[in-house]
Amino acid sequence: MDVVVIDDDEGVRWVLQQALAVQNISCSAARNGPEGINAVSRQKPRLAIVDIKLGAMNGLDVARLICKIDRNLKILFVTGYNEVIKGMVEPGLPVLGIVEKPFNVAELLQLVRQGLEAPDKTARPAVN
Amino acid sequence: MTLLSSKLDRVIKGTLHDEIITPKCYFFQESLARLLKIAVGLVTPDGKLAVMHNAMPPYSKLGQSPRLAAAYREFFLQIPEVCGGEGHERIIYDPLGLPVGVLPLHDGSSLILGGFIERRDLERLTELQNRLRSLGLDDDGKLWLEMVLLSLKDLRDKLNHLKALYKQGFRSINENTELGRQALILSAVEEINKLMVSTLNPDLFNLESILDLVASSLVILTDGEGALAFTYCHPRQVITTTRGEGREKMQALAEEWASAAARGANPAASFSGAVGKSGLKLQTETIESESASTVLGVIAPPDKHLRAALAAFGKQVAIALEVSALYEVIQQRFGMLFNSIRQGIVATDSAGKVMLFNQAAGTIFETLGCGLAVGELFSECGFCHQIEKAAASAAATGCFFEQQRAALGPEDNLTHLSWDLKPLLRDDGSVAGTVLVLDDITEPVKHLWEIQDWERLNMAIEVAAGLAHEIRNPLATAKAAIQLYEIIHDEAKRRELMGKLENELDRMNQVLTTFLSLSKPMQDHSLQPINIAETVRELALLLKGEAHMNEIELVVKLPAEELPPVVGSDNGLKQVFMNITRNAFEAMAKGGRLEISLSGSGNGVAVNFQDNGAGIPPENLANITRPFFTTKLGGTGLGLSISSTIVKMMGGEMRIESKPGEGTTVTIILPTACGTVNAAPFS
Repeated sequence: MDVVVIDDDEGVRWVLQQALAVQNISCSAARNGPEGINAVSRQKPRLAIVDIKLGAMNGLDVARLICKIDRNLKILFVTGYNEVIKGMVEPGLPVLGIVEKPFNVAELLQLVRQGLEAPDKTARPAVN
Repeated sequence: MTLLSSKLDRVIKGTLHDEIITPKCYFFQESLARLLKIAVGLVTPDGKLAVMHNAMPPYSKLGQSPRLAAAYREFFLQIPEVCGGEGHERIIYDPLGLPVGVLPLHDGSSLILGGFIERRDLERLTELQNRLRSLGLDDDGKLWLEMVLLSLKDLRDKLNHLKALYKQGFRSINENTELGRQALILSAVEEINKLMVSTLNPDLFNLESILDLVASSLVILTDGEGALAFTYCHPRQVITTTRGEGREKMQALAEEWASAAARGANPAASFSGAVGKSGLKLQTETIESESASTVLGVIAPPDKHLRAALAAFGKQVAIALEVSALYEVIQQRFGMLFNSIRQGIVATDSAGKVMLFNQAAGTIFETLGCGLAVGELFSECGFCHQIEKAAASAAATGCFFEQQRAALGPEDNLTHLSWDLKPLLRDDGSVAGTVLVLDDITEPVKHLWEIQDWERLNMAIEVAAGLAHEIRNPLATAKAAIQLYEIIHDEAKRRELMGKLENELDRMNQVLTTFLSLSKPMQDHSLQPINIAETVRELALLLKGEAHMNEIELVVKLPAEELPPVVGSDNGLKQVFMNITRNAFEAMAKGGRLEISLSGSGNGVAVNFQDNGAGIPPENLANITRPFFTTKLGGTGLGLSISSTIVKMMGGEMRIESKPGEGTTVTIILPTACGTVNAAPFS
């Protein structure tokens, strides 16, 4: 499995799956934190697209937990909030980027590809 | 000023016509009482005790026992009848069995000497104690100890002595004898003295009164024929009381005085001229002080008593002037202190008249267009009905008011006041007046409003942020769908994308609609009878999936019997219940248990949401229903505030109890439909 999409919005999950499918990137989807954690530990994806606002357990917490499960996992955050949220991301997490909603599909796919192609150890640290 | 003049007038007239000329003259009896070391009283021809000098028990105790007083009243009534006939002194026994010497006088009145018991007469002592008890004056052994004890013989001697003195004295006491004149002058001076002292009473103290008395000249006149006149002259008015043949002369002098004063001339100078013309001699004594200059004059044939009286009065005046000067200094300093106080202070007397107020109070009243003047009734200032009422009840009952609020003045320019009103209590607890303390809090209130405006702005920003977030999910999907449409060429997939796009646009609209309805929570929520159990069941069904996903055990407990319908809005209630349930879910991020139960409660139905989540810290609990208060990332802070508003609009009540670490219980009590309820079927 290449990518797991963790987003509580059904539309976003669907559209991300469609976009990844176009690029032949295999993916699964999770609706909330616990489901996402479950998916990461079972399916060993290389990258997780995580919505920051996820309901009970927020995306920042989920990212921290899933990175512990798989140290090579890369994170791509999507959020409906503006860049203020960047300051809240825990330093040291392998975050590829924070993409604001509504996103440009091509740019998002570009980031995903970069993440999947990069060797594990060159994963970028958390955004400044 | 008028008060003082009339008092003086009364003193003068009273002294001359009623008291000095008749044998009731106080000083004479008082002197006798002191001389004889006994109590001397005067009983009028109609049997009333007019005066008692050197009063000792039991006379000094009459006020303490109504029964004793009544017994003595009865006793005095009998005296004129029993003891009639001038000069026939005798000894009778009073209600306590005490011997009383009675000396009838020529005009039907009687002098009495009383309150004594025969020394060593133990039988009488026992009897006295019995009588005291029977008259309600419980003698603890002290009363009779206070009495002057003397033998019956002593009393008889004193009575005889009094008779001799009185006969001698009475003959001398008339206006044509030197002793008479002396007595008259002394008596007058004494009355003036009393008047002076009365002005020093803290309750009546008034600088104007003292200056009025002092700055006026007192002229004691006697004419050549020996008739006595007493004239109190004042620049603004003249009170003349004369007797004897000098009347016209005196009146002419008084008029002269008044006209001189009216011309602004020194009355004393022109007065002496007039006196000279009348063939009398004027002796004057001038007392100067910083605040007043006073001329005292005596017109008389040279008389050492008059001179002495004049000198004595002069001393009194000098003291009064000193006192008034001192008072002025105190008033000045007090005024500075008083006026430097930021709060407005208004003091009234017990009748509600303004006694004094400081500058701050004056300013506040002025701002509100009300006049505040010393001597005016506070209730007539038209200041504030509420405060006037408070002042009246404080004066009547001694109650007080603290930290009250009032907003006065025109609508567009309100003056906000915080006020305290307290009674001024005397030592004995009676109310001497009231003190109103006003604090103008207009500025702080306006400041607070400004802060609230800022808060509202802040809230609006938060709402906008929340709205933006809600919109961005469908927006993201819609945008991505369009972009994918460009990339994907499979027709079936494209149709799906278009379908999705439309879907997401609908969702955006839905989000906006929801937000709009949030701002008007009851807009389309018409009130109707609702089967609340049904609503709860629906809710449970709706949230089952979400609960399961969040590892939350959702338990619904409905009563076996049917609950009466509540009055409310179905949509509104669903919104409220959904909100509370979501909050509960969020409080149980690691799973938990939410129990929703229904029960009858008084005239309503209670819906209970009990979770075992994180709970709410006490500092947040107080704010939890405030609009836009949130601790959640991305929360709008509107949920509970709107819920609470909806519940209130349905006539219900929302209560939140919480213990951090144990969980939260939200209880919503809704009124049941009118007339369909048998009070509380499940309470």
